[in-house]
Amino acid sequence: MLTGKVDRLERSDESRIGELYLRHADAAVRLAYLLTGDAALAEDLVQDAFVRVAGRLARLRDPGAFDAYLRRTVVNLARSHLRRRKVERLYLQRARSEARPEASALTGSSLEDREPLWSALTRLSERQRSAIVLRFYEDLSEDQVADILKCRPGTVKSLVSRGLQAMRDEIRGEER
Amino acid sequence: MESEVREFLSRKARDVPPQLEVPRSLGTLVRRRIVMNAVVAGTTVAAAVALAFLSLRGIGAAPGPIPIVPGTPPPACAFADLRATGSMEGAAGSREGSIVLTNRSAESCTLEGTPTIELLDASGPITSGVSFEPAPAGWEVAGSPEPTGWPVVTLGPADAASVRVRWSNWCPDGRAAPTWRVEIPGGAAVEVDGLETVFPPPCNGSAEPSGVEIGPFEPLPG
Repeated sequence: MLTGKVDRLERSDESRIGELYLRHADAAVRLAYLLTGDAALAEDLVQDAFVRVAGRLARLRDPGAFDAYLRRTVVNLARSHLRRRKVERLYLQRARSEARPEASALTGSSLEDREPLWSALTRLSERQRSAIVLRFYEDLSEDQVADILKCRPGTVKSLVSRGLQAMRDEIRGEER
Repeated sequence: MESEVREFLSRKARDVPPQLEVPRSLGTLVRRRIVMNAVVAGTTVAAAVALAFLSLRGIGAAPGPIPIVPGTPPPACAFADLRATGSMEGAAGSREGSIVLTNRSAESCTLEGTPTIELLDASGPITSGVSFEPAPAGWEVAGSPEPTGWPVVTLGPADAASVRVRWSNWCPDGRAAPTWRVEIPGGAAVEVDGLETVFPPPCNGSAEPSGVEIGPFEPLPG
């Protein structure tokens, strides 16, 4: 009985997920790329996001909510990944007891990438970077960004302001 | 600067090639997730039915209303469903209180286990000098009956669960309170409103780490 129910769920949810993937994956992968700096990782994260969302499709009453739900899931998977990588990198630095050049602080972006804005963006903390990408690429309001990042709108304002200042300082430093 | 960043991000995003087909592995992973959800739901239903049966027979920890088992058991709460607020009070050199997670969605969902807590300062996650330990649930400390269905906590819309927290030895004295983030099992992290304004516990010795004791999810008392 349970097997039959699962089979029916599997077929309908799988085809729905396929349709949703073709409709929404492009935007999701671009967002994940801007958050992580790594195109291959972005595709993996988005695939993971779709798998997670698949489990809740039956309970998503409003089809318009899918986009927002997917965006939240992508942002949080990207942030979790960046936090884990930062902890791993700190651990390796301590283990090796040597200073490493922070050419690509939080992402897998190429060392050959010389775009100053890209380089400056990759050096931001994952919170600042997420806030800036959600505000200026996704064009979300401070309230919407605060909802995704689970913080207050005032905190979003501060993250964006400090992030932009850090980018300005980084670019000025590269120009000298 | 803002318009420059906006334009740059829009251009940079186009570096990524378009997704022209559904990855083959996606179907397999989706099938696996659906089956896993069904197994977990089936286990939860079986446990709830068993508990109801035992309550009817007069066996079991908590007398009271027989739990109503819905046709479709709720899934695990996702971070997007939850709002986290916290409060603590001074208690003999430490701070004790709770983190309350409220279900903001229109659907029921479940929490189970002990969450991971993360402390952050202006530089990001605090990765050293803090020791996280498990703590008993509030109902155990109070000597109350085990809540129905526990350790699974089912949250209807607007229902809340709580997590007992005890915090000690924040060094040096005068150090700003951190931001608290709670990571639910299997999900992402939710920032906890309210704990960043808690007056930190006194420093008892910088040679020892700050202690954070965390209890499991339990229904909000009252």
